[in-house]
Amino acid sequence: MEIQLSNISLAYTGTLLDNPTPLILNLGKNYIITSPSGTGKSTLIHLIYGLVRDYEGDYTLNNKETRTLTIEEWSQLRTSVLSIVFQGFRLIMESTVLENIVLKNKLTSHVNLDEIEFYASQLNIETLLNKKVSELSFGQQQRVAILRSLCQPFKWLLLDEPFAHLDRENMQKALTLLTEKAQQNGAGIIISDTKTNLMLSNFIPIQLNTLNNG
Amino acid sequence: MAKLKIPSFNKIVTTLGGWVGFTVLTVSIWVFASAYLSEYNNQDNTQHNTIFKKSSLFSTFKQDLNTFSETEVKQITNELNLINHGVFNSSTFRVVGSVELPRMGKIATDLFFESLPNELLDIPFPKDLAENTIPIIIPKNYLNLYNLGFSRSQGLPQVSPAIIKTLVFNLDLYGNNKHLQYKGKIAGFTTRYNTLLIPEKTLEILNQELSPTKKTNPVKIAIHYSQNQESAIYKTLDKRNIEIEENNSYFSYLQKTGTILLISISLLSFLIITLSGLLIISNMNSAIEKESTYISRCYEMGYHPKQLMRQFLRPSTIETITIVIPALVFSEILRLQFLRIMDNPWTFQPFAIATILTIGIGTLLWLFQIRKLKYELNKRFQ
Repeated sequence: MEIQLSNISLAYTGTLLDNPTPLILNLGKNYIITSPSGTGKSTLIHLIYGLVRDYEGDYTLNNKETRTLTIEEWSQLRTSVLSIVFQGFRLIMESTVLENIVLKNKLTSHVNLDEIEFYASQLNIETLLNKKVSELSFGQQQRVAILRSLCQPFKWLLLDEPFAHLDRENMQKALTLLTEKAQQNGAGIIISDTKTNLMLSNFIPIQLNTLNNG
Repeated sequence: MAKLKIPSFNKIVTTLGGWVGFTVLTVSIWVFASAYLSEYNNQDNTQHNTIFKKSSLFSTFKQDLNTFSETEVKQITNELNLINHGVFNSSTFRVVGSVELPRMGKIATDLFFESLPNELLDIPFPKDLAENTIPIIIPKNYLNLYNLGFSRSQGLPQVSPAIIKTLVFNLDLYGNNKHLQYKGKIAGFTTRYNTLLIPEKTLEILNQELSPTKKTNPVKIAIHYSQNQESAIYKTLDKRNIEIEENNSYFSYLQKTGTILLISISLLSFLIITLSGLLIISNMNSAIEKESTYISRCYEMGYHPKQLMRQFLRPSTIETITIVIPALVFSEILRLQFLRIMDNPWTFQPFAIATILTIGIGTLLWLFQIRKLKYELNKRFQ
């Protein structure tokens, strides 16, 4: 289930990857996209997740050209191969934390309620499960989004600025949970982060074309 | 999944419109099917009618000018190339019919009987009646006239053919210084003749008993002929100054007017159904618009459009069922009301056809909703 990317560019962000030789991302390994704001980190994450499809270049997933995938095939990938934490969380604000989690989990019934409660306690949000998302702080919402991403089987965990609103302690806890789950699944992680973080120093860097201004 | 909220006002308007549309449509299809089946089963291409001499100033003063002599009957019927014919014999005594009605007291009226050979009748006389009971065949129009006119004007209840057939009334016959008492019972309703018919033999015996000296020639002849002879028959009759009963043309006029009315009503019901279908779709579209963020979130999570479609289709499916099923119930109620006042031999089959077609149209509406929903959702994710 390796990912190959080469010469990726978009009309509105310019060239993201300028590499005639494909960039190969292997399962079981963790990658970090580090580049300044506005250089296309989120765009690349979205592109890998199949939400950005108007790009130039080649993106293959498991040796299959993704441009030919149908909506249904992308939905299938999003329930069993690709899991994501969006930078803007993309939660349903008028629903409770648990309703958001259950909505995701309904697709595959990957975890049970005990596991959800366990992950919630790992992320220090176990008391918030019945609260509406709109009543939570950004940091709490971010941890809900992280919990949600674990409620499905995955081979790639795509994390778009997943710790931007977390303090050091909560970030450490979240990172530990995510890397452990990725290891258990034999999955890889692709994370985008604007701040060079010592905790992510063992992640393999992916360099974006910084000539763009976004 | 989120519950889609359709504004109550929209829901009420859609449902009421749908009920009216589908009820009218079902009833219209039912009436069409009834008419078609009746027509389909009446294709022997022959016609029954009644002929009589045209009235003139002379005939007003000399009644014999209106009657047919035996020789005349022979001549005319030979000329007309008929399948069958028979003269109307009439009662030559006084008949008073009466009935006791609860809260109304006794209603009595003078009657006049005629008879025809059995083979010319469309309704057979029953053979198992008590000896003092006279079976009477009455024109179907009389029942309609009573139900649709007289009963309304007098505030009397409408009666069904089945009820009328159970009614027993008194017949007082006077003549030859005698008074005979009989019971009368309706044997059926004729669409061929506009007169009260009793069995030929009964009339013969009663005439003999109550007016033995009075002999009259017939004034009317019942004729049975092939439809392709019709124009020739009309020409011959015209030459001989004989009239043919024109009640059929009046019914044909009514039939045409009724058909035009029915088509107009059906078109109107289609319009109402289309509007209420559009309203359902519009409700669905506003729900999609309102839940736009929710749809996007679900899609990003991994829900595919078909799964989302099922969620959105549920309320409109429920709405379609809520419209079609009660409409069928309303139509059935209307049908039963109709059957109370009209004698329709095609009671169930046309209604089954109407029900199937209505369900079919409801299904088409539902399929259209699926298609539209699929289009709307796919448009968002292309």
